[in-house]
Amino acid sequence: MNNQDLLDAMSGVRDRYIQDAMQTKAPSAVPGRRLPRAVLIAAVIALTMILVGCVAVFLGLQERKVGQYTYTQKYDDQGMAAEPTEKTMAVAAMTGSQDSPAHQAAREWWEFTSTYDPGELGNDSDLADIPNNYEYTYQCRTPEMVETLDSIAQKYGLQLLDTMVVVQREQKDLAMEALGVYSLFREEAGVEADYGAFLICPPENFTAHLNFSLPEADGEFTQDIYAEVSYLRNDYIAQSNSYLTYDPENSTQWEYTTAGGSRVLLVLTSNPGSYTFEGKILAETEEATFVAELDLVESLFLEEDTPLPTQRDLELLADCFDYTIDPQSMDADALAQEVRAAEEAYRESEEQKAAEYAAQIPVYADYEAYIDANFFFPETQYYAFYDLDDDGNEEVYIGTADGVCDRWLDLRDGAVQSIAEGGLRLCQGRILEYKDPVFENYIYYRLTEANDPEAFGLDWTIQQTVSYREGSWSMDGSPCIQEEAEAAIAAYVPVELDLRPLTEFPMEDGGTLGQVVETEGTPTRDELLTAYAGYVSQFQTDPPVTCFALEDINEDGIDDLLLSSDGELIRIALTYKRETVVELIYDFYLCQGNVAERATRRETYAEGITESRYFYKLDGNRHVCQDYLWHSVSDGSWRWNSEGAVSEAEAQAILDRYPRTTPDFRPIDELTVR
Amino acid sequence: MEDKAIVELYWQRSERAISETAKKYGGYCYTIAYNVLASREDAEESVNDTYLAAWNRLPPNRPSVLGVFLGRIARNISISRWRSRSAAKRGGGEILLALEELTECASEGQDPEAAYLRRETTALLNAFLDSLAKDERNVFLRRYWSLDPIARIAQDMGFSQSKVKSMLHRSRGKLRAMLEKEAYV
Repeated sequence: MNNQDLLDAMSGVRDRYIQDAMQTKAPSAVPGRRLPRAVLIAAVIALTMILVGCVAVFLGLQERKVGQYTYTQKYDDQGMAAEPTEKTMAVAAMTGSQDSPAHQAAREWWEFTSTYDPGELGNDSDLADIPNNYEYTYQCRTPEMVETLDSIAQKYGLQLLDTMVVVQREQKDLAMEALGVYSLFREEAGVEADYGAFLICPPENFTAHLNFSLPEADGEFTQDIYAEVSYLRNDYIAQSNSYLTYDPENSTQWEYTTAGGSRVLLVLTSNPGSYTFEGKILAETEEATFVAELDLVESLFLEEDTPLPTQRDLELLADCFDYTIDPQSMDADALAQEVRAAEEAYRESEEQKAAEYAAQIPVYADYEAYIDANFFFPETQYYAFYDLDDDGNEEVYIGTADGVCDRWLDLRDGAVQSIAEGGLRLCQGRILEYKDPVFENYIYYRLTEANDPEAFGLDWTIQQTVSYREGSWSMDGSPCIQEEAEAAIAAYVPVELDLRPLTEFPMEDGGTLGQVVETEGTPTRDELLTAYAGYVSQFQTDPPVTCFALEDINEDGIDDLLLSSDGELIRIALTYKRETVVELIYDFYLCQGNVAERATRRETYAEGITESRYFYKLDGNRHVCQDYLWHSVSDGSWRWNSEGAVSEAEAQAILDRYPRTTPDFRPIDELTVR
Repeated sequence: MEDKAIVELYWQRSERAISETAKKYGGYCYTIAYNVLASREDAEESVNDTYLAAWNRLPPNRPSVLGVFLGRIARNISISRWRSRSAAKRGGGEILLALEELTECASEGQDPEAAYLRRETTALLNAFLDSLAKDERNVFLRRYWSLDPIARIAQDMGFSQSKVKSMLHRSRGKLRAMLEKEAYV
């Protein structure tokens, strides 16, 4: 077995372990959007002009420079192999300007550590003869490093920080309380911030990880911007993460006076070729240095519709920060103790929540109990028994009269579990066929073999796909001729199940499910309204629901509840069946004939603005697609179902079949039992 | 939006499922893809493919943990995409370094029984992970499952980089010993 096999085998490790590991991640930046080539070229030209114009400005970052490092770039900016090239990155100390003790100490420590080899000891941790603050705050690995750090501190009259305390995002309130700093932004800026982990080096130094967004004129907020903000006292040697690296070839810097009156140094690194956009903000007082490092991976559009982050964007961001924060002095041991206690309390509360959640999940020991509790429209469904997973025991099919399942149930480890769901037809060889309700698009699933790394830990995995779009067939993503596609589809022969109405499903007491439903009866008007009002009191959506209507959209004799925020788009439709409020469909417009129209508008670089519309009838809570229309706003073209292009007149004729209607909406606070 | 509600949107074949997935898990999937591919363009494509794969798999499946389900897909798609680049143009980010590190635990060359062994190895890997302390396990999976850079793991978990390297070194040693014991290398 080689290393790649090992990497592949890693795909199948337990969900729980992956979940645990992923929870240790700090918040990450929102990924950047790909920009068209023409925009990039224009941006490169604009950037060149910016750099030329900046030659004479204040060179603050150079003053802080303590050295540089080179590396061999073996790949180009697109990640492709290229002729190896030596690249140089500059390293600057966050603290102090050129001749200050803090700066000189930082330079000397950097020069020492960048050339020092700690040898074998370098791989050990929690070293017995290295005090914790030297090891964790300054990454000292040997007594020689400790001595050197001490001598630098003595030489420049600086103090050493205490042991770094890491405060995870779950305990961020504790970190802010300890620091006495509750926001890193000016109140007037109206910024929304989501703080993550804090690295605190007592007495006062810290680095905070956070995402933040700025208010826009229309009341919305910008996308999240990822930041790391550090506060560093000038009379201490700063912690090991207090060096900035930057690409001198692609960086520009200038001084700026913020809206709050602070003088700051701004650095914008912009490399469109590799989609690297970074901002740095440095503000210095006699006592301390404030540094914000921002990930500007995507265009911000803060002021105008520019394709890439601009200097003005960074200035607007700089206006938001509060450079006057004054952390209070902390005791490292006391803080570490508090953090440990808080982490322990958090772990216990999470375990308790997990246990409570697990306890709430109902467990059904037999099919009768499961079906009784989970199927609300038995009059529209059928059942059958069949050994779906080839284990020698029959599983239960629940679905339509023509063999398309809603769910397959199996009894595993003493509990009923759903092992396949949603619009699947059983074919010979224990293959499940999914056919798209609109398109000639077929997906065939086979049972997953034990530990199959391609199965994503699930019961079923894709065996084959066959699809037809606009005159072309394809199999497993590759083009094929119609005969090949039809032969492939025909090879999957449906299994004739012995279907019976679900209402006839035998229950434990000798009766049938239908008889159980009959005894439950039809809800009275008061029961209906009470149930709906109870649901609404718990229902949360953004924007909030403001009105409701009662209409029987699935035509089963019971008025359904329609909830809307604007009196047009229905956010959700619910019904009340078998003494339970059941969700029917989300986000739709109601059309004549109780047809639900789902409309989506999207904008992509490839297709411009497009709109798609699905029209559904409801059978119980099952959605039966009647028609699908797609429209390109950019070029005016239309497509219908899998037929492909249709004229505007034809499209309009289809739309005319489904005129929208407005339900009789009333204010939501009128939803009460009279 | 709660995972349960997002899965429900997939079931209703609502395109909003994709936008809600992107909103909640887009950054997470992108990070995994970018760690493998080291190219924003390719990583974006992988994330889009991840959404499509989720659309095609939900239904019939109902994953117990949506995040892990999507992460697995993003990882596998990205590794496949990385492999599908011609050898000369592969490039790549953390995956190359991770593979180099894993060479310590593996043998050279392609084993004819690799597919069979891979299934067996997954079971063994789970047993190996059971044997690790929680921090060690998290560091190991951040490095070789999520393919995160060592510096990032150190930063997120509050360890020095050398401590992370040391933990990984020890874990690889244990894994090597376990694989040798079971005669996989």
